[in-house]
Amino acid sequence: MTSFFSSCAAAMVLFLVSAGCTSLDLHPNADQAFREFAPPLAGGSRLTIPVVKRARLANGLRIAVIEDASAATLKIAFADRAASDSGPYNFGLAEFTAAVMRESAEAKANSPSDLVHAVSQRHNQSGTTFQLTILPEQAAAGLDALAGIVEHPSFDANLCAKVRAELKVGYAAQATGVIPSLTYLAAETLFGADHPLAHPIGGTDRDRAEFKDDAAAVFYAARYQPNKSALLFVGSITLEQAVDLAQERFETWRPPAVASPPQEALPPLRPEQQRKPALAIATGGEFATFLLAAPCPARGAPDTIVADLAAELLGNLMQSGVRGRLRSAFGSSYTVSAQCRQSRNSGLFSLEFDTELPRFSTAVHATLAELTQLRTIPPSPSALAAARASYLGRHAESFGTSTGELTMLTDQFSNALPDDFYAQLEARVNAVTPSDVTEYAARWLKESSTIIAAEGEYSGLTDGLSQIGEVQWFEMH
Amino acid sequence: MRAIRGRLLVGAGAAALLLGQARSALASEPCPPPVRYTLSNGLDVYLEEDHRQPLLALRVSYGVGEGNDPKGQKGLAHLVEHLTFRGSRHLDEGQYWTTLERAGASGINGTTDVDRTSYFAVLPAQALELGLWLESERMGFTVERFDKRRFLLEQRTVREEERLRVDQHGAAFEILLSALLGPDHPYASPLDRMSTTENMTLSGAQAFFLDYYRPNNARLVVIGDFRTADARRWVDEYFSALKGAKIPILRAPSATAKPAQRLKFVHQTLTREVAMAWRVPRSSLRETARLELLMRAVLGYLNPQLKTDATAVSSISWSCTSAHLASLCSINALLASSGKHRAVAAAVTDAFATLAEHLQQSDLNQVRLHAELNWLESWEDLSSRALTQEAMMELLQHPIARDDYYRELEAVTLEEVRALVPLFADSLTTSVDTVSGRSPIEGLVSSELP
Repeated sequence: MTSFFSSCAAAMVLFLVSAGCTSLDLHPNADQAFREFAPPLAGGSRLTIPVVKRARLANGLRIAVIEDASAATLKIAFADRAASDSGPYNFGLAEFTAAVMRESAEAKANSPSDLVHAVSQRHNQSGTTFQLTILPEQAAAGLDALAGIVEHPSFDANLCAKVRAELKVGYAAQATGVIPSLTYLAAETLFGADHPLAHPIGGTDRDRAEFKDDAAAVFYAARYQPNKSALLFVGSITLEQAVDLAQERFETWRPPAVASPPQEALPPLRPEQQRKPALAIATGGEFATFLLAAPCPARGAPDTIVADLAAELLGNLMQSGVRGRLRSAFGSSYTVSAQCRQSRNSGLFSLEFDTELPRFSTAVHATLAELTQLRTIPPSPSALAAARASYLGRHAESFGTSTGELTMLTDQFSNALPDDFYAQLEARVNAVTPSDVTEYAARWLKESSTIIAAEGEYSGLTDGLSQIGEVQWFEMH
Repeated sequence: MRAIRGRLLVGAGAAALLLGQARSALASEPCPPPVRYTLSNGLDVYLEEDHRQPLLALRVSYGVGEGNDPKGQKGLAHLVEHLTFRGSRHLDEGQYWTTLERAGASGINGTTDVDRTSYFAVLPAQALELGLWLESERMGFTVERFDKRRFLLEQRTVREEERLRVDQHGAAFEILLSALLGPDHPYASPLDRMSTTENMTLSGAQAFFLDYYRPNNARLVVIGDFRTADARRWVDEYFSALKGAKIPILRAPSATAKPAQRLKFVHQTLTREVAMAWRVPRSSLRETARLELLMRAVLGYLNPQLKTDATAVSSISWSCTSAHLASLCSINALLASSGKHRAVAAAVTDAFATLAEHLQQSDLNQVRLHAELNWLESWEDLSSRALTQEAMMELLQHPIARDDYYRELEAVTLEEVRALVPLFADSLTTSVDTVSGRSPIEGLVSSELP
């Protein structure tokens, strides 16, 4: 009732001029008994994992299929574990190699309608994927396109020069965001400049200048091998059909045997005394961007699920964690997000948000308080239940589409996850206890391994970051 | 949470709609045909079963948007959208979110368009009754929880969203819209949108809600894993007691304002953009298919042209939007650091001119295939399909089947696409340049690009 009277009092000011307070009926609908409580939620599983059928060709090429006879489309992908995470010192080489392979196939294509032009090329820290969406009757032509890219590419100097020029333009077009800049800066400070996380997936112009064109041919020969690759299918195709089509095109693919480079160890976390606890990029304006970063487990590690739930609890729930605290404090919370970006060999936890500059200091304080709480006080059962449900809900939504299903297959292969990883996901999520979360946060999100990075106007940032410690200042780009 | 740029619908499907694999409790049951009906209080209801996953998409939309904002209060519809998330007679503040999150909902959000405000989420199958109850709370019982504190918080949040949107997605389109439609048009935005939030009042927000958030101005769409009979029972139980009311009608300006050719603006932004827009006739499904194929052909032709230093873009997109009072198509390019506004705009103009003369059947077939695949993919996504049906019921007055739009895409001829090109002869173009340090800049909407 309090809110009604105050609302009406406020309304009078306006309606003296126009309609009058009495016309504002704030209780237009009568109450009913069933409105007292929200309907209870029925139980049951939240996640239905699609069935994956698998096979392997004689040359070692893996095949994974999610069959859906009713699907109107077919998604096909060639996935390979060639990526920047293969080791330090080759930043951008994986993307450059893949781009030359695709350019080479496009140059050989006879017609603009050749499906090779419809292939998209994707990269992350764990691998490279060439994929396309087609009608089911185009399956053979789609595989032809992928085989044309993957088998016998040319690394001709003209193709390489063209790709270098395009990547330069592409990099200039993309590497300008505040969050990416803060993320690379934080990763470099945590792990050192030689760590893949400190570089864009495709490398910078400077990174690409570090290798010559012939490095792509060497990289291809070492990394693109049938036994390190997979063909993934989602949609209207059976495993038997997929195997037949793949055999016709890939069975004879046997690249010259070269010794695979040893897996180089990634640089460890830099000692705490070699880095400052806060980094800042001074720009200007009325708003500031905040990023908290820390190491987190690699994709297949035992703590993967706890890391994801810790991110949910810290940054992604609307009414608790940092988002809830900022929302109830001053409204500006919609940009808060947290995640553990996991790859095959490493992971980076980040929590980020934008805020008005005068509230930056309060927001930083609230974030640090939430982090301390996560390390020391087990989350309430209801908060953990919300984190579990929200996390599983997002997965369920993803698995409702063929795009999400293909992402699942790619994730499983690129990150070398066990075949039952997703089948066990819901059980593993439900097995996480409040104390697991606290132990995780105490181990991975401890003060000595987290770093804060921010962008905004100098004096506004200084106020907010002073509570953390010494600040190292940078210029944008 | 504001989407002025929602792309008007495209699409349809190939074969008859079949059910998927046995993945849900109801998977073995045949799906009845979709049902559309109206409650006695005027609520428009659409229910479509699809049992491929144990999920459903729920959307409730109201026939109100930024076009209904009172003069000088651009953004009030958006603010009211936010306020309806802050509790109701039977829900404490925040309980809407926590209830849905604990139920395992995802994609929980709201958007405010020029004509429409929509609330949506993807829910586990077992949460339909809960979702309907929560949305009926919003419709019937949120306004009495609007108070000064909530109002001030959301006023600030809306202002921040405005700033973020401009930073991340640019402002060129909104500036262009005002120039194209004239400053007095209901869809036009003032150039200092953020400052107009200061003119809003709590009582204004309450009155706005009471005017427009009524069942006879609302549409409910549910698509997914449920039984129609259950859904009808719950819809009737939770919504039928809510009262309808006379809804204010949005009218077009009496005289069409002459579009500005030069318009001075001051804006904060981190982006460098070129936006170009053209007015087009209000679309039927066939017109929509024609426009989609033309715009895809233009972008397909443009892509290889945008790889020089001068024409480098970080992204380029098209949209065709059909709303009650205006329909338009636009192309928006975010420039790379080396990109020049004039060069990119010239490339776009050149693309239309070239296609008018040289668009070939093989080109059309290629973009048609992409359009069809895109449509089929969007249809399989429950939330995307629910959005499509909501928009179709708004624009065409009826939902569509997957095949409807697919057939239109299949039927469009080369001559039909070419015939559209003259509509794009004269564009209004705007450019926005970047500024370091996010300080305000001045610019001009004109053909004199930097």
